[in-house]
Amino acid sequence: MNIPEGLNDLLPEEVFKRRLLENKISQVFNKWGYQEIITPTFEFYEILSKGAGSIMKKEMIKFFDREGNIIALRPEMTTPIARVTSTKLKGEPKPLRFYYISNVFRYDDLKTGNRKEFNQAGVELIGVNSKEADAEVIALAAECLKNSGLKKFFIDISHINFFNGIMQSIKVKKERKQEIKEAILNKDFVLLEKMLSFPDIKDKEKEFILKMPTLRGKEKVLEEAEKMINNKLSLSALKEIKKVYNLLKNCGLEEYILIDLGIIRDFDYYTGIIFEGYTDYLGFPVCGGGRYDNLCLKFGENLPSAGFAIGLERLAIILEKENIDSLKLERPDKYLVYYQNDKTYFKKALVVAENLRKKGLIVELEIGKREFAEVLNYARSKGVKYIVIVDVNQLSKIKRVEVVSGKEEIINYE
Amino acid sequence: MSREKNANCLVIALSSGKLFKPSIQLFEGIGIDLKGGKEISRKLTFFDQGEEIKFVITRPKDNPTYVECGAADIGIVGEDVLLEEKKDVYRLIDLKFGNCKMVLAVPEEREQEKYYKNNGHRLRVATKYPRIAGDYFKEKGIYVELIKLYGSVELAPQIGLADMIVDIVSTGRTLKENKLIIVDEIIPLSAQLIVNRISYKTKHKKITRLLQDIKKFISLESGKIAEY
Repeated sequence: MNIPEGLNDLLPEEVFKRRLLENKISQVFNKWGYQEIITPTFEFYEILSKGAGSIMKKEMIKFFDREGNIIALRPEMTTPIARVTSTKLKGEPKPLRFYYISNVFRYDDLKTGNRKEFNQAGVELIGVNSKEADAEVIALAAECLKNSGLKKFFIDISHINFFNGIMQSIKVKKERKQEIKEAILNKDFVLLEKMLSFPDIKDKEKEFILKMPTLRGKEKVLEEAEKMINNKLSLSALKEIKKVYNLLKNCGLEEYILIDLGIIRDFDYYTGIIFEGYTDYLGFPVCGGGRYDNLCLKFGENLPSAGFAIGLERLAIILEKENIDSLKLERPDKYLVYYQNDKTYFKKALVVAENLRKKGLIVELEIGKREFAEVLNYARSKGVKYIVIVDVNQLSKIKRVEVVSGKEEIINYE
Repeated sequence: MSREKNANCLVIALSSGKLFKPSIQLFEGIGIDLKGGKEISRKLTFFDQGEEIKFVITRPKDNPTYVECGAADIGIVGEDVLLEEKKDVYRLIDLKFGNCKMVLAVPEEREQEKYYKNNGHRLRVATKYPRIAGDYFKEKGIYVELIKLYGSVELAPQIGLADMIVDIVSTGRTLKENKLIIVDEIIPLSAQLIVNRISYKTKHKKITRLLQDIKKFISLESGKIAEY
């Protein structure tokens, strides 16, 4: 009895951790004034593909409905939210602040924390294009990671136009440019070097493009880059990065933020600041996002927006690697109420259970009509701390047996 | 996948097989003390003398997976594997050893006819590299049936499993012995150095220093060859 490859059943212990993590993150979202939104699990492929680059289009899981329309499982949440905002919420006062915690679906390699179905927590800040909006989204991402319990992490920021400016200023044929872009997108610097060894490309430009992935650090990186380029688009991108970086410093986040001009993200989708969060403990980013001002336009509304998504499976892996107990929560003691098979005992057992639950304890009622020895074994295997034995002789008192030690005592259950 | 234990040292994944020896020579060449290679032959993981670098030996095909997931920071891998597996990693240096090429080869007796001429059936191509072969034929606009094999590809045309093969050759001896003739060279191949995308950030200084040493070593080596 199998399930399709890349999917997963979550058993109670894992669900407990997942919900704990979700709560920690949604607490922050709520406090920052973001409201939760839920959209359908599958939609028309045509709509979902408006926000998808060529890779994402391939990764979508598709099928036909009865009328023959192509349907796809949502590969991410930004596009559905852009659709809702541009249609049902047209004309609402801006900004809109939305958050989601949802499963998304992609055909993907089965690598760590990366399955066909995985879970994301994220936000969209819609209707404002300002440095302050960019900074808010990045600061919120940092706050979520902090509140999840993560101690050490970094968020690297860059700007899509830094790269776009460089590409525009190079004077090569369009097809050549596309090849260069693809080599960079594939992080293939061996191929890139070959492509840049082309008479039309100046040595200086070549050297600089090849150096891009190493331009990472604090403010000094910006000065370094400024000296090496002279196109307007890239220069204004550097200015924007600086402004956002300073805002984040004001938020007290300096220790978490770095500038990385080599960040490579989907070029066709983002229009401004881009960022990604990561730690020492995982070979993939744990969150990513940026500014995408043109997406809502595809649904007829001009709404500049920014957002990010955190991969919940990845975050859980990182948290437990940093500190194995970080997703453990003290749970109240678990009780099991045992009574002898008799109507009067049963009634009293119900009252006992209710009273113990009122005290905030977790209480199971024995329903299997089993012998005490059997119940004791069961209790041991389920992590039950105490069994209480109900009899009618003593009115407000019951016998309590500690499962591990077998120690007995009489307690007042009222 | 105990990345946390390796947080301070650099983890380098080496490919077993043909690329292994030259990889060791490369690291010894840039001054990394591998204790005379005593431990190497027996273990799947070993350290350098200063325990600053941990080496792991992987199956060639698995190498980029280790690097993509971050179980290793750096990988030394054949270009054939890299092209076939398409992983999300930085490819930073062409190491210029392990040189060979991906070729299309046909049985000698078919060399004279146009190699894409079929005898009433769709051409069948045996290969260990369905992605590379598939891309190649797609670009040529030729419809073929790819037959994925795991080794001894040159056997396939002899016993009628395939009309031709796409495979790696270095000396060409195996092809000759099996009466196969190269009709097209698809792509030249050599060993490549790849880096995990997050390690390149978190261990940037160490990795950059290592890469510089390696680049220097390679240009010196290629200079030597040029002198002869």
